[in-house]
Amino acid sequence: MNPRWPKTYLLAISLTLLAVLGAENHRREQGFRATVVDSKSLWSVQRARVDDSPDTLAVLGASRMQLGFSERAFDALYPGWNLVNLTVNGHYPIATLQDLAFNSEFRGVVIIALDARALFVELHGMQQPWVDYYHRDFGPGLWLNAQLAATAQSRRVTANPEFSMVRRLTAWLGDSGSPQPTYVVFDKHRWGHADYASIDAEFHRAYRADSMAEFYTTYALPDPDTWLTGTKPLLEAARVIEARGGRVLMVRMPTNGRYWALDEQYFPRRDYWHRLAEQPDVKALHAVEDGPLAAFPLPDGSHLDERDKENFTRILLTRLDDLYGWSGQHAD
Amino acid sequence: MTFDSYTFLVFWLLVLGLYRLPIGWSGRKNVLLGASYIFYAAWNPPFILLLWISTVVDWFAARRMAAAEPTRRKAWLVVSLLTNLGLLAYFKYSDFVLHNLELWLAAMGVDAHFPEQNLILPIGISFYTFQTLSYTIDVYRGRMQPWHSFRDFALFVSFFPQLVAGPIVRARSLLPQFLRAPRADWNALSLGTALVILGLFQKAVLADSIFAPVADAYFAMDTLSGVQAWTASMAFAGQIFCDFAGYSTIAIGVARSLGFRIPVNFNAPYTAVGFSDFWRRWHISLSRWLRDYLYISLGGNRKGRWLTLRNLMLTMLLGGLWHGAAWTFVAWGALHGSFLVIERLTLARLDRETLEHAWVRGSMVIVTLLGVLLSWVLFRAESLSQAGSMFAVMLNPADWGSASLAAADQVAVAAFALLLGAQWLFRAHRQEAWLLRLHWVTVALGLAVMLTSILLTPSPSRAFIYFQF
Repeated sequence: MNPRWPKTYLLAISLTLLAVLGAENHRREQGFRATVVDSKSLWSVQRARVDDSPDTLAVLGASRMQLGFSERAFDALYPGWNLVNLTVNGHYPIATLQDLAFNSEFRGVVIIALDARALFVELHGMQQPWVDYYHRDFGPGLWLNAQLAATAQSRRVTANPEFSMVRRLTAWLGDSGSPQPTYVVFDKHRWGHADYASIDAEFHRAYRADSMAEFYTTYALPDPDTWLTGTKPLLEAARVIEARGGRVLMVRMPTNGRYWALDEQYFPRRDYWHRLAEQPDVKALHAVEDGPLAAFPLPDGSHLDERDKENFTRILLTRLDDLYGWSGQHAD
Repeated sequence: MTFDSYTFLVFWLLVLGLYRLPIGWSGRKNVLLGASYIFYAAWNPPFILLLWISTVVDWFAARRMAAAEPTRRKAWLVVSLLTNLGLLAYFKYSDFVLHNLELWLAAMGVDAHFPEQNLILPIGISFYTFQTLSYTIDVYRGRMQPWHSFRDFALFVSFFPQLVAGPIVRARSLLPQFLRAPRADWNALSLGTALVILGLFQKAVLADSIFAPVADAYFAMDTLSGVQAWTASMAFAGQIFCDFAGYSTIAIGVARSLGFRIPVNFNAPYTAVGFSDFWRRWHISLSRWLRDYLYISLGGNRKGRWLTLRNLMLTMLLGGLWHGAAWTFVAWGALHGSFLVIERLTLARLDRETLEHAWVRGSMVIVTLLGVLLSWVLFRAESLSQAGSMFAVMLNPADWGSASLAAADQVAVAAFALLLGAQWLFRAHRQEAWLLRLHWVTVALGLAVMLTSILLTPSPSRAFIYFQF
């Protein structure tokens, strides 16, 4: 063997380890936490876990469910169940429910987090790119890679693209500042964990409410009848799943303060949510109408803190089980 | 499975481990064949059937061809061509053909609508189709005999380091390497690994993190100033080179780590002295394939000046279409064909002494680079009209507008300038040669910088551009 190679690699690897570990240590000292970067591949890893077992719970929704549902609480309450996280941050879930209805032998349980906006016809397809990716592009190689990447990202702060050397260089040249420690981290199963104690929650609360107020005043909102027509795809998909022996449980996650006041002002429950809940065979729960669930603090008016999600999930699952007996009643 | 994925790292380590087991050369070839099929199936398992169809048809076609009467040989070549090009045409060009047929019928007053096929393009089909066709055509032309081992031939068609994006290796070059065990020692592994690191650096750091975000942002905009359009073109020129040359370098490195040699695919193309020289340096394996199996088949330069020019143009048009089913690719091929025609007509009027002048050569380098930068606009644009708008502002200095660029743009332009400098510096040396020639401390520092950059420049993975071809 040419003697130049062992010393070349010894020096190269030593210098690399020194640089990478130094950068990692530096970021950790600045208060950054390792987080998995969510992706369509990681979503597809979860989607691939949907099978024909009745003991499968698929959780659908957007950020409120992604940050508010506790895998640990679920596993403790329902050992042996297959939990599938199909939530997507910032994207409403009707397309995913339709995918479960029409593209699989799925006959498990769905908990789908909805609010009035989720049922705007033009927002039904928000998660369609994830569904299409799963059916068109996803394969065994991406399945393995997504899990290996998630494992690396959950251990290394600097595996997050936010800390890319190139991105930092351009930010420095453009004088656009350093990244700030994030208050939300994601785990390998795509669940989010929000630490509101680490940020100015009041600022976020005001910001979210302002954004929502702007949305409500600029968007052409549908009247109750038009809106109810837009729920047909949801109800149809739920009926297909239930006809196979599955369950579809619709949950309106809690909001509070000015955020909730805006929700009620523009989408009063009696004209919207209640009309959906009154449809035949619909299984629905509005968290704001449920004392214990409504009592949880929501630091930004819309999402749960990581310290509260276990209790919240425990109460939510038990409450749904009391109402609809989802964990024991399967048409096997 | 892509080279810049964790999956590939695990896969490669496993293959290296199995490849070094004491199972004899035949057993190790079985390992390589199995690994190649797993590599391909990891993307979309059912499509491996297409690979098998090409393998089996070409294996039998070549054998029958060799045994047939001269009059029947062509029939077996046609079987091979129809099978391989038929599959390629069906998966790659169905929608393009049907859509243009609709437009043509509409122009004739016929209202016809064909359902969109929306087929998934089997990854690497353009590459392995050309690779396996080179075998049957060479057997037809009598340049090689049908290979004696089906297993070796199957490995030639599916050899995983260059299966999905080249280099396109000729049967005459790769099959003889399967006859006896190559030297896959620690030197080969060390050199191969260094090439893999270099390729990953080009792909993950330069292509994906520096060039692609700038190119993507500008090509998504409706209107650009001339400066922005030139920046977009430079960014894409950097991206496509680092993406594709990065892939080729990794492929060569992985093959080298197993003891095999596959030909280089890029040789400092942005320092080319003229467009003919550019095509001797860019995607060399495709250029040579098109020259040997298309241009020469059309008559090459043996049938007079004008037919030579026609053959050049046809070859470049089809070369453009090979890259994708869109008129932008055809126009890209046509533009390069025009460059070659103009160059040939112009150079024919100059004597050798003039051509050797430093200022003439320097001017040719600049003109070639500018022409190539313009041509990349067609390659990357979403439509001919977008390309037209960009050309309009790029070629009119009055539309160049403000020269102020965002920080990411400045980094991309600076990186492109460094890339040109590096290509100029290393244009006379092959990668392997300078890795062995430089002092070991220099190589170690270079590898450390590249490895650190790769590990500290995570970015959402982008598919290798040439996977879509």
